Amino acid sequence: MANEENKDTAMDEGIQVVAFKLHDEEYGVSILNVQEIHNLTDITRVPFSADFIKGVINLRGSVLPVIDLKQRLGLAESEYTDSTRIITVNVDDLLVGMLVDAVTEVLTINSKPIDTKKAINEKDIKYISGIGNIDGRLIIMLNLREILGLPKEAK
Amino acid sequence: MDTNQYMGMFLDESHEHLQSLNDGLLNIEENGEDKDVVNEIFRNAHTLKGMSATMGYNKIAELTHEMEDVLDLIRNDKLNINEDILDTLFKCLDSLEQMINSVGDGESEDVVDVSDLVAKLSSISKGTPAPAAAAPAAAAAAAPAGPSFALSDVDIDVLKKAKESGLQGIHVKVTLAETCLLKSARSYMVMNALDELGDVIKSVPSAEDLEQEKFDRSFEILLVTGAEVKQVEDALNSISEIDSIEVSVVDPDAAPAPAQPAAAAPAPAAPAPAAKAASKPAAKAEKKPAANKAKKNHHQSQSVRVDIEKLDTLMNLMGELVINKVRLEQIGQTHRLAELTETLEQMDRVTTELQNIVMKVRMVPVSAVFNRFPRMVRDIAKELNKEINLTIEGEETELDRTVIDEIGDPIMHLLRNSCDHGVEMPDEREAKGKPRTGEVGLIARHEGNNVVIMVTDDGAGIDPNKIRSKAVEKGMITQEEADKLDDADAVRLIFLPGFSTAEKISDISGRGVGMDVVRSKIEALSGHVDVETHIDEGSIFKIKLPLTLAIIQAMLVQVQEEMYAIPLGSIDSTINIQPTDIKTVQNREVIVLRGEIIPIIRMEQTLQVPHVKDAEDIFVVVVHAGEAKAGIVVDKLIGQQEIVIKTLGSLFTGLKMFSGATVLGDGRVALILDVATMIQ
Repeated sequence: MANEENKDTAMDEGIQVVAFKLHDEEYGVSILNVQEIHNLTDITRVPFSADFIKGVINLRGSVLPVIDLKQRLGLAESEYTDSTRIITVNVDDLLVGMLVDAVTEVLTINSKPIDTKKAINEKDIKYISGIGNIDGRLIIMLNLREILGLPKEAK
Repeated sequence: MDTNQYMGMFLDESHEHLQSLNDGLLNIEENGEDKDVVNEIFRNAHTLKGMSATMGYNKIAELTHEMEDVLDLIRNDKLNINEDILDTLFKCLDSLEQMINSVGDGESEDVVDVSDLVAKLSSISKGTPAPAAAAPAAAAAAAPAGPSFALSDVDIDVLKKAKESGLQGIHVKVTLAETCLLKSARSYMVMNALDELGDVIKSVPSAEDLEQEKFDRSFEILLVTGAEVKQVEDALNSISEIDSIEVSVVDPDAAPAPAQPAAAAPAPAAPAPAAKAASKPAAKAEKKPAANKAKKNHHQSQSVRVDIEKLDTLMNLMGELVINKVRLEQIGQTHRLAELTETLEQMDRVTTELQNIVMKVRMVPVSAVFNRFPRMVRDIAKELNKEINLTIEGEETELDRTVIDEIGDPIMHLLRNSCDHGVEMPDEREAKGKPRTGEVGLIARHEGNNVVIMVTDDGAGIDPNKIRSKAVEKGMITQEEADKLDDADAVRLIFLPGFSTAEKISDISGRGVGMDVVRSKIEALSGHVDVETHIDEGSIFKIKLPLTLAIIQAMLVQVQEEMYAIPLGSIDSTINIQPTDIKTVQNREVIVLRGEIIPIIRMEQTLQVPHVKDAEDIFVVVVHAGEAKAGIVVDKLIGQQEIVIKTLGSLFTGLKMFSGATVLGDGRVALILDVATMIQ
């Protein structure tokens, strides 16, 4: 089911991925989706919005929604630290910021989808498009389209 | 000359000048002749003529030239303005607009036959006791040996000055040999030779055209020189491949007809027209200083055209600047650098100002679209033999440029409908006990988070029963459905596609495409259009446009640690109260303000704001939405500020409580409350 994202993450040649941390786990999104990375700024809470939406920030004069990735993936909350970052991603011209604990590096990996069902709990599986393996270091690739609740059909 | 790059500018400016001409003429029609106004529109016509001639649109130039002549006579009290003249001038403007539009679409200017208008204008200007105006043609015909082009005022001025300083104007006509191969080279040699003798002030065709060989065999040059005719001839005779040279002295006082070539000396063929022609430019030249004086008194606001994308970029850069400024401020505070903090305060003022201006730049007052309507209503009224008075209010209301460009057509449709279907014939109005003159209103204003544009009339109104039966007749709804509709909904049927109640199809409205087009256009701007009507009292069409990207005045309030903006348009007042002032009625908290019971809304609870500390004061912002009122309880009033509304984006669709967000001066984002939703 999670294969649609693999179109972006061309399997054979290896893709560039921005890797970041949520707690101790490492996650990644295709560098093609990433627009920029910010330090944490004031996030304005938006009442009555979806749970996983943390609020909005000012991105050079325009208003950018920020989602709480940990909330969305069902992970425990944690305090902001000095390494907390907002990764701005662009999915189908929708700009969204994602709160992450730390941005680690840009990697080139071969995305080899492994049997995700054993590794991850059933509920959150749709948010994950595969797991990259670099010498035993696991990078969980995110399905941004699902995470943002965008309609399924890809281009 | 490649004129394409100037096309946009030409079109923009032409439209501007046409608009001023329209305004001016309307003004004259209403208030009688006014020297300043006549001067102003004369200048417009003159500029238009110049521009179109430069661009090579000879018909436009010709028509404006004739208009200019008529205006010139009026300006000099040689012609009294009357309705006939005004109508003719208005018609000219229409033709000009058509031609300019056609040119703008990349087609030729020949869409309109202007010969009738040109003839009419010249008969107007000739039918006066003043010296005949339309003479340049006659001049050319009468004096074949002199310059075949008309001398402009400037040329004559130059010639006169030259004469005063002992120089003379010399007209040279050079015809190249038929065998000449490099015509441009020859013409260049001629020019060069003449340049050595004096100053070339004019050439026909222009110097560029000569360089590009855009001429047949002959060209003419006007030269100001201290040299004699003979010297000029000698200089030119040394150049080969020239067929013939005609050199003549041009006397600015008697210019241009009587000037004769030195070599051949034919007598003036037709003395009378030549004299006429001579009198005109001379007279014009004298009038010029007076006209100049009048011009100086009349300042028009100057403007520059900017691509809207550049403004967006500017706005974003501005935001970035603010963020960085805030960072610097933080550094200054952390390290206690007094000097830095001081400088930053200065910078703060500048950036705030800058930000405000950048935000305002995108906004255009609705007068940009409204100002063409008085003319339109006047024409419609004339055509229909109705008496209609158009009142415009709130022209200064500002809307985003992109919206402004789109709302012109829908409003035009509505106005036409009001004039055509709404306002009755004068006699009919009298029979109904109404004044003969129908009132049509065009009103714009901010209403909460929207700009509302209303088209009102005091005409016949819309009969819901008529609409019902028409809709059934057209098979758009069944009789049953029609009966179920209340009157207001029945009237709204007019917004359905293919609906038109006009008994006869007229030019003005009633092709059955009107109202649904209006609706779809407004809805495309995420606006809303509605109608309110009373039989024999009139109708009000109300267009509501959201303020996305509009700038509004808002009150910033603080609730615990969060900031919100409340549009000033929805605020009645703000008060500071004691906790004991809050009473309960049927379990709802209310306050009593000047005898009025107002329910209160505690923002902290409604918006589930995290509680940090107890507020010291209770402030109530009394707001209204339509008839309903409420008091919003907040912790602190920050102050009034102009804010730019930004949409929250597609992730927040369905969130009605906020009409958008705005970026505050310190770079933080504040949400804008939608008061109407909050009150419900």
